Amino acid sequence: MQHKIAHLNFILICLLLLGFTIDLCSGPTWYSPLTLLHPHTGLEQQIILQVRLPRALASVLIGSLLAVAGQLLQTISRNPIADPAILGVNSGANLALIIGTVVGIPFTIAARFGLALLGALIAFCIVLGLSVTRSGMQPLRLILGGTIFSGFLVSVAYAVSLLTQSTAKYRTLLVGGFSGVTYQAVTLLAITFFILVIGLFCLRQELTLLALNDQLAQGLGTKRNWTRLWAACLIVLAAGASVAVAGNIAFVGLGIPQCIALLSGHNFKHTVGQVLLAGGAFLSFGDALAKSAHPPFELPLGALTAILGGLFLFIFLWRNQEEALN
Amino acid sequence: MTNLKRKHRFGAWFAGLLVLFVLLSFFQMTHGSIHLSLHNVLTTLVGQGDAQSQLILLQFRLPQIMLSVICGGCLALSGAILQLVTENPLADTSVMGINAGASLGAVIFLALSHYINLTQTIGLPLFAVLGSLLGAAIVFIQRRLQQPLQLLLIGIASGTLLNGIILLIELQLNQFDFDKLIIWISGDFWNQDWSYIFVLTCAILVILPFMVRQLWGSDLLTLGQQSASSLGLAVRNKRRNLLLLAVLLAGIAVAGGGAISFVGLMAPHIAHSLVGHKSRYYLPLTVLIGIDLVLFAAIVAEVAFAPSQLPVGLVVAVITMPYFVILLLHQTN
Repeated sequence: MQHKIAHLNFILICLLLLGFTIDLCSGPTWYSPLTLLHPHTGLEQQIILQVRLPRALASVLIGSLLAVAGQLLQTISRNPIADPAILGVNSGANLALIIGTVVGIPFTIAARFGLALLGALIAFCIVLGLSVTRSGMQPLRLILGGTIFSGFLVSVAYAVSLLTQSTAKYRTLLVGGFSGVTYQAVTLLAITFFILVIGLFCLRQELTLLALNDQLAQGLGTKRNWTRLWAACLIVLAAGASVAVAGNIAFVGLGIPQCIALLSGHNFKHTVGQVLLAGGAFLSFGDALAKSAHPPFELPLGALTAILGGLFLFIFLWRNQEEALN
Repeated sequence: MTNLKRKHRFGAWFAGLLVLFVLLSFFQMTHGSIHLSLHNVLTTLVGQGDAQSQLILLQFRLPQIMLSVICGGCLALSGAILQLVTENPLADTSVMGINAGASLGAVIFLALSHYINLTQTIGLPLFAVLGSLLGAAIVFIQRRLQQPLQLLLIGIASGTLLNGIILLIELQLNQFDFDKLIIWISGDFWNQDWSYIFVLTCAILVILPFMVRQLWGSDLLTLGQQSASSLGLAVRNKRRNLLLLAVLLAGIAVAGGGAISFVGLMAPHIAHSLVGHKSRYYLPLTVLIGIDLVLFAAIVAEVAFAPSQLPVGLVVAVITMPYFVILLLHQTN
């Protein structure tokens, strides 16, 4: 088992490096990897350093953040198809950002981050509050309600930005994507990432137990509810930071942890690192595709991931259905 | 409730909703970016108004009312039938990805309109209907009746998928034109052309007789498959036909007003709570409520934020989506 995990880790690191390099190389004009090391002209150097490098870094960081947020949410809600995007956390952050900037809060990265966090927090609380009924929390109901609530928030966001005629300005926020990422944003993401990793390190034992079995975790004396609360804070932080930089990107938090669980089981302690790596690799490939599929236009990354997410959810339900029948 | 009492109740609500419709229509005709007096509207309607009010009424406001009737009525009826057929009180064309399928059909037609030798008036509804069939096929491809919530989740999965594709295609057509995008994601009356409305109306009129025929005796379906079959109902056939008709109606509605969400969920629910579960009573009310709802949203979209306007579908979404969430989360089993 140890051997297998090391194997998978190695493959994922290679994929991440490959994705990162391809993301750096791709764009309206394709640079060969050699150009990255020895840029021929000053312009090339500037493009690589000022445009492509922050963007590639941001896609790796956001991929990791979203994937881990998804895994955390799936662990604490004990629900294999939970995802911050599905539960409206991302769209809450998105809406708060748009409303905030419409009211006149400056569009700086710090303000954006604050707004996104606030929005994510409120949306998360509302969805959880709505889903707790007398009969307890039903996973399917939570997902369904969350998705529709998320659609509601997106509708309001569209309405606000249409009314203020700012759809073009908020295009990235509305459809998701990495265009115009700066080093400030990358710094912010890096700090968030750092906090997240520390948090995960502190909570790793409790979360591993929680992922195994609720009753067992209770019996062994872990403070389940505190663990859940801290994990929820980390989720909001990760989702908020991602939305503040790159808008609404779905699927990563849903699909990546599931794929990793398929490959190497459900031990949180062992898989969380792989989820981080895989999320980063996935989004850097996604960003490279969005940039280079139809130059000079950019495909909306949110749509690409939504298509993948829809497909994934579909396959997941399909498989479960068959299991239930057999 | 005795039969007679129920009948009276139905009559009262029917009349009330009809009056509401007339009131909303007049409000819609008088208000807007240019105010017309009631007198002005009435004289124009009998054909003696001045040129300006004639233009406003005939080219802008009456088509909107017609489209509200088409979209609201079709979506509400379609939702009611879906709920009946799937025995799932939360079924609706938008949550099951049928609207998204129809939108995708429409968007594909618009993207390929240079290569297809069809006018928009005919081609777009045709593609929308084909798309809605596709959307329904994805959800119902497994023959057995799924668990209610699972069915809805599959619908959401396919809706997400289809909406992603719509977003991709539409943003390739117009990079920054979100108004166009929103038509196909949440709905708006985008084509207020009389010939287009005429085509849609004809399509509905063709479907309607089949609909009424299939709905006759459909109350037996609510008894469950076994009792209904034992009473001599060809359950399977009836289900299939009704489903097909519901999907066709949804396709037409989307061709008229884009993917307007959850009218088909909200209207039947309100109708049920007003007159109970007898289809003879609640289906007409469902249609009326759907129409009133969409017309109301159209008025809000036009008047509330004047001079800027909102897409109708966004207003409907803001009204209906919270309703769905609350219904879902607090529905007792």
